[in-house]
Amino acid sequence: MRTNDMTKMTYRDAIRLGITEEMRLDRDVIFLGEDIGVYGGAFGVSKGLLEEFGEERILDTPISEAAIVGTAVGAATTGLRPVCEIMFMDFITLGLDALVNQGAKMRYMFGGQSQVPMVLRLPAGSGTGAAAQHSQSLEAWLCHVPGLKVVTPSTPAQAKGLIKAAIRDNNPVCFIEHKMLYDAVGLVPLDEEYTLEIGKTIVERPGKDVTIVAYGTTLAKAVEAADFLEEEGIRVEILNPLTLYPMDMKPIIESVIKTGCLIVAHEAAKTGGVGGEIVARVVESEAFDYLTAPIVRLGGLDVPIPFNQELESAAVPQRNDFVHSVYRLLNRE
Amino acid sequence: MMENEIIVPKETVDMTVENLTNAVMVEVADAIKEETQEHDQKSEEALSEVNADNEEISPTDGAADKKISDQAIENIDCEEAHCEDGQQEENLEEKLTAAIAELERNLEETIKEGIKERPAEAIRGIINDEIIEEPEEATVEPDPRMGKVRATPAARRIAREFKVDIEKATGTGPNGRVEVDDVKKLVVIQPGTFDYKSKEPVVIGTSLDKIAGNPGNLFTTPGKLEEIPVNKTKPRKKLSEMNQKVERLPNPELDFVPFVDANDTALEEKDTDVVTKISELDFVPFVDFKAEPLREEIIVKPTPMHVLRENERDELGLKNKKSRGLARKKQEPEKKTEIKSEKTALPIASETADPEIKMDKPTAVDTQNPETELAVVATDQSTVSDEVLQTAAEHAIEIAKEPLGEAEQPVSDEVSFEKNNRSQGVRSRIVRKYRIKSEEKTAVISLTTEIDMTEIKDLRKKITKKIEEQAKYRCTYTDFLLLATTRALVKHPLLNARREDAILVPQEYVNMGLTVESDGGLIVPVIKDAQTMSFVEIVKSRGDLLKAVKNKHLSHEQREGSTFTISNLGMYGIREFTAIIDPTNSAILSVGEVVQRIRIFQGEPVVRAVMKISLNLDQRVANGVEGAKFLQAVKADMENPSLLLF
Repeated sequence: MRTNDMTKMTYRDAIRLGITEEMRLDRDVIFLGEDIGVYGGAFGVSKGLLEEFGEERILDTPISEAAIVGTAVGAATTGLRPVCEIMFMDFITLGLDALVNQGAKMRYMFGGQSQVPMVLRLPAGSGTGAAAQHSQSLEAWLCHVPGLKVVTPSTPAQAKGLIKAAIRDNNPVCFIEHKMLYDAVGLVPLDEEYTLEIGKTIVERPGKDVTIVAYGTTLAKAVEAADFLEEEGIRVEILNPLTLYPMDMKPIIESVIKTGCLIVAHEAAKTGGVGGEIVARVVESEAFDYLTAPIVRLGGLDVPIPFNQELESAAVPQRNDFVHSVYRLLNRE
Repeated sequence: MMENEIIVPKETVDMTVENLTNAVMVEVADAIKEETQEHDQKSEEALSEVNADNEEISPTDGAADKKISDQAIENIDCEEAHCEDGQQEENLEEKLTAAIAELERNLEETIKEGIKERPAEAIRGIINDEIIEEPEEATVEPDPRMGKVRATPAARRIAREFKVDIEKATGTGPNGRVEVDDVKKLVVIQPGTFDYKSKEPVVIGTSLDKIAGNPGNLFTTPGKLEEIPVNKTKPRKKLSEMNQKVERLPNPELDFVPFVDANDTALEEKDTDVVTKISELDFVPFVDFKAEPLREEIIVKPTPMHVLRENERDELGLKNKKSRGLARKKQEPEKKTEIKSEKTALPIASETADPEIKMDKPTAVDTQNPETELAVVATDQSTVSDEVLQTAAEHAIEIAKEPLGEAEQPVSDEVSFEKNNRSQGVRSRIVRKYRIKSEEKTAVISLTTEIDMTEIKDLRKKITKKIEEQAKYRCTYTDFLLLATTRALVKHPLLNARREDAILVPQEYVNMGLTVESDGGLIVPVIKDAQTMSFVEIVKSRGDLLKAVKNKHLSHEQREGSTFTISNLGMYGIREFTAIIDPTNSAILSVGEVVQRIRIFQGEPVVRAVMKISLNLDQRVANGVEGAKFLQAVKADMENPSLLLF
């Protein structure tokens, strides 16, 4: 159904809407994961799907991530389009062999004769008070595997557009959703054909003084900081990569050439994070000659995410970190 | 020295069993040395009355093992002999033998137990003196920041572009960092060097148009430009208020915007970079009427990477050629006598035998061109003896015919590089390489057709301003051709194939290569994904690429991955020609000049603007019919250009 209507809905509902639409359109799409059937998923994303599509297409799996990912890779090569929910992104470690050594390599090694059109839904991020084993952001690991695609939406509309694009993509796509965003509300297009192209960086907010690249909840904090700075006359340009791998660097480089200052931020640990890669590519590019200040990287502290709420919020970049970084870049401090 | 010997075993003992034995050896040697020292002392005590003048046991050499101790013992024996010669005392002798016996016993013990005892001592040694000294030395080293300028990359770029000495800037940033504004304060412009207020429109195809060969291109001074009749139709003031760029627009009949240089050509050659950069100025520099130009003092000017690479290639190629050339001379000793004349005559001979190179050259001969000097020399030589020249020419042809396996690059250019303009040499080499490669590996057919450009001409007149507002660049006939060719390529994907050796890979996308001449030789910037572009986008991306070529900002990515190439020599007054297929493409389109000719149009002989295009096609990729259909499609689109824009 083509329509221009938009409705306000949560991030959670937008993901569910995207999956539901794709399952209605394509009988090959199946959904598997732990507790996604009767219980409706640990975060309630799959509520109501079992009633609509039945047990054949909504599969409650045993508590084994290796089994989920392995099944999905096999199902995908035989022609289905599985969507898997890994309850917490932290548990992907158990399914990495099937994903990294099999799923990511098959299309390449069989010369394109076999495809792996699967989607892994990976709820990541801290803020829930779930401590070190349930709060990690491990996207940098996945970005290090050629053959995988890694996308991360930051608004409900992006969530719907990207999950649909991910299901339609013929490669394994890791769809990283942030747990703290599930209740975020935004306008979502109801058009069945609304998708967002994988591999496109978008400008969330145009500006001219400083460029910020961020995604996930960090993006929301960056927007807050930008609102604050706007009152002081500092106009921050915010870019959202959407696809972490393969990342579209062109808008970022153009923005840095425009502003001369760059802040890269993410919640994942700073060491070995995606931000380092973005910075390296900017410095390798023409944009180097336009830098007017050292690049700032904001990332999580190199510690396991603490249980204590104060410590937890202290371990990841917050709004004030952005504000102070911008001041520093513009020599206002 | 000592410390090394002690440290090494300490570390290696911890490491592996293999190293352990080494360590033992060194330890033993060490122990032996100490023993010998002790022994020396003892024997000195024992032989206090004896003049032991030939004690030469040096404990410094670490490589010594048991031999040292043996020598020591022998030496002591010698000393014994000495003392026997002098005074014979039995007590002394007994003491001595006892001492030696004890020494030997100690030695054996240390050999056995050395491993247990020595490491402890070694560690002590490390902690006590040797190692501790090193960090102290390190702190004495000078601060690496000394004498260096702390500056942001952007500030350095501006200093480089305006040839300002960044060391003279006063840094106002944190820790005295030099910021962009600090450098801008130093930019001093000599009055009259250029007019920074007139931000020229970015001129497309500039370096191509410096040629005097095209009779239509007569605009060399800005004064003449302003007299163009087209501009007289509207009041000038209003125009300049509307858009400064329009004032500078030349005759739209032309296929390109001529290169406009306010000053002498000599100055332009010297300071081309500065002039072009300043046209992009976003600030008003300080104009000092008394100041001396800073340009003499400049050091900050790194060679661009692409130039570096080509130079490297050049050197490599030269070396290879020299060695090859030598080998050839050995094979043909009877020609050795004529080598001198050969050297001067060769470049001329080889170039006349090479039509491609000739076409690249300006038709008007510059008197300052070193090539012409060479030619003069060559003619002098030829007057001396016609035979010599003849043999030399024969020789050159012979070389040109040399099989590829023996000489991949033509040998005959060897001499011309050394005396000739360097960039010219590089360029001709690139062309030659392509030709030989493509001739060897392909079977090329050539198809030519004529296109009636009258309608495009009219259309361009109508839309050119509109396009310029949107794309910031002027549209040219090339843009129309790019669009038409892209459309045609989508219909005939075989011509859009990418070739890798014998493998043919038809592509879904059209990456359009466009041959452009620049200082570094022929460059083929590539318009990526041309099939998705609208006319305005094509104008824009072409303009961007040519601007990048002009400013030498063209990245490696921007000149790779072409699937089809268009070569345009129309601006040189070339009517039609056939270009060389890029080794990775399967075809190339050669574009000639747009000229006025009488053609039968709707039954009447009328003057029409026509242009000839030629398609060179690798016949193994597609046959002539396919190529003809392709040309037909291009022709149809070009003659009905209104459809192109939708």
